[in-house]
Amino acid sequence: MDIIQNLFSQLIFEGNDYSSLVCVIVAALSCSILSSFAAVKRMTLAGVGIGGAIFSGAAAGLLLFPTLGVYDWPIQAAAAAGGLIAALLGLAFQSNRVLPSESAYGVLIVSLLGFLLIAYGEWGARLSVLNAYLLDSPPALSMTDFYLVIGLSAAVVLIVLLFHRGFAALCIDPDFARAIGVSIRFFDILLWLLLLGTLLISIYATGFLFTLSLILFPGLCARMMAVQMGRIVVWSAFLGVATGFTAEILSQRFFDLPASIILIIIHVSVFVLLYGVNRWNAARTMRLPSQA
Amino acid sequence: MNQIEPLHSLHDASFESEFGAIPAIDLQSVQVGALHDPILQDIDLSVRERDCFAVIGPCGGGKTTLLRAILGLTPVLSGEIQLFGSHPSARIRRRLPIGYLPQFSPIPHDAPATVWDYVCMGVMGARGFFRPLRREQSLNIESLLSALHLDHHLKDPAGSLTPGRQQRVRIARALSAMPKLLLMDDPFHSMDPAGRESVIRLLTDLQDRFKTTIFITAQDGGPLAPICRHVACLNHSVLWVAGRRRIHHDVWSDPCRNFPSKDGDRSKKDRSRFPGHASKRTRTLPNSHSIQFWR
Repeated sequence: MDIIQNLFSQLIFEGNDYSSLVCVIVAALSCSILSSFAAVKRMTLAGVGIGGAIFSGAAAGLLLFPTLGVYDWPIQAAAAAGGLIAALLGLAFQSNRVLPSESAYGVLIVSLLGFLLIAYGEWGARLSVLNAYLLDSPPALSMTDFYLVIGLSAAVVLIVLLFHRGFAALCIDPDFARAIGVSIRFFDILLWLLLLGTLLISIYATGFLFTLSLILFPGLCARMMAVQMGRIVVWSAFLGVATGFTAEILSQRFFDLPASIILIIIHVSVFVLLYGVNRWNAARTMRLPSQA
Repeated sequence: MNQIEPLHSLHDASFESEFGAIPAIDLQSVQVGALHDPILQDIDLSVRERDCFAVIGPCGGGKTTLLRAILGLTPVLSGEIQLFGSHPSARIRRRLPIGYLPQFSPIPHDAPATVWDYVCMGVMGARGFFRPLRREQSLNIESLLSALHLDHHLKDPAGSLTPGRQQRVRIARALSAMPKLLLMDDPFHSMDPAGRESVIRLLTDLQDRFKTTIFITAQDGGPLAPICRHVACLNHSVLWVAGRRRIHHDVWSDPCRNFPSKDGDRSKKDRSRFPGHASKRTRTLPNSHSIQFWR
């Protein structure tokens, strides 16, 4: 028992950056909880779009204020503005009657990617500071930033826990919920705002790719593991925290790779494994009646 | 004999003692849809408390739109809608509580809910977001699911059931709050005769025990005949309103056959086929649609 305890303490605590590890866990928790709602409500692509807009906002901020660093507040304000515009566009696209919302989100993402490519092509040298923002967490978080990240992530988790029934109604049958007097518009806007806030905090604390992976995969994987909304949220949170923590430890202790790259590899592996198991189960269920 | 009488005045003292004085649903000159092409126009309807009111009519006649307008899900162009004397705001709908069965559409196969979760959504307005399910609510839901023969499917994903069972799950959800006002859109869609019977039994029981006002729309009114006390025919506007006992059995399945459509007028020959025509009061509305009232 002592050997395991020693190994565990050496693996995790020896020579590691505690603040980034705690930030990763907290950001992973809030991201993966929202990832489950995004997966069920088919707005994962919108999450990716908002993430891209935050990144583009930061790039635009750097072009406007070339002397500032990526973690200075004017650049972060520009990132937040980019994310807010994308969230508002997403809300507007959601209620359009011409296109399915997924297609509209796709248009949003492609246009943001276009902007990113132009920015990198034209001003690539000046924007090289964004590489850290893209791949990894900041080199050192101040204590104020550290508490801010933890406080905001805790607020997101608390709000989701308080209103989980409203969010579940939004995902299961919003029309019925509205008919019996549940304010679906309120929950819809709240979910978009939470998504925006979480992405902002998480990109700030853990990097763009790390956050994107946490918004995409845990919810989709959990969707394959459970039927009920509550269980999907719990599985998603567990997967998000476990994989985020593992990726950060592997990056700090064993591999000379950014944590975001390792996380994406882990997430894709888990996704493929679960998808395979799910397909196999479905095929087996289809075969059962004929065998009987 | 041919004097024009509004629907309210048809409710005499005995009627009020049976059904209550306050209209559960009151629609006055309601118009829904685009300004130049309204789906519903000049709808005047009053459904009394504890009544069971059916609206029958052809496909595309605006029955679902009417139901959605009553619930505030579809905006109203003009006119006024009141539920129990109040504007149907979200707060009023939550407090009543309201039971609602939407028009049938399959539950998505990936809906993140079991049958139990799906039915529990019905009491969400009544219990609020923070309170857990009360014991009596839980027992009510259990007995509802048992009466609808769904007690073996509690843990099944709601989207994996057959259409008939899905419709029963939706009916259970609509009834789960023991609502004061129940609005149902074509409740017998995809249901077998046994299922229809159990639903009719449940509705009768609900009305007896909780004095629920029931408002049902359907294309085919036949299965509603045993429970509904008043019937209206809707084809973009209300063509007629009648008491159940005054309706010829042919009318249930084809209510508009002998009546004018939205844009047309009926011939003298058609008028003669109108069930019980000679003894009925007729009036002409400002929009020149004929309307007939019976009790």
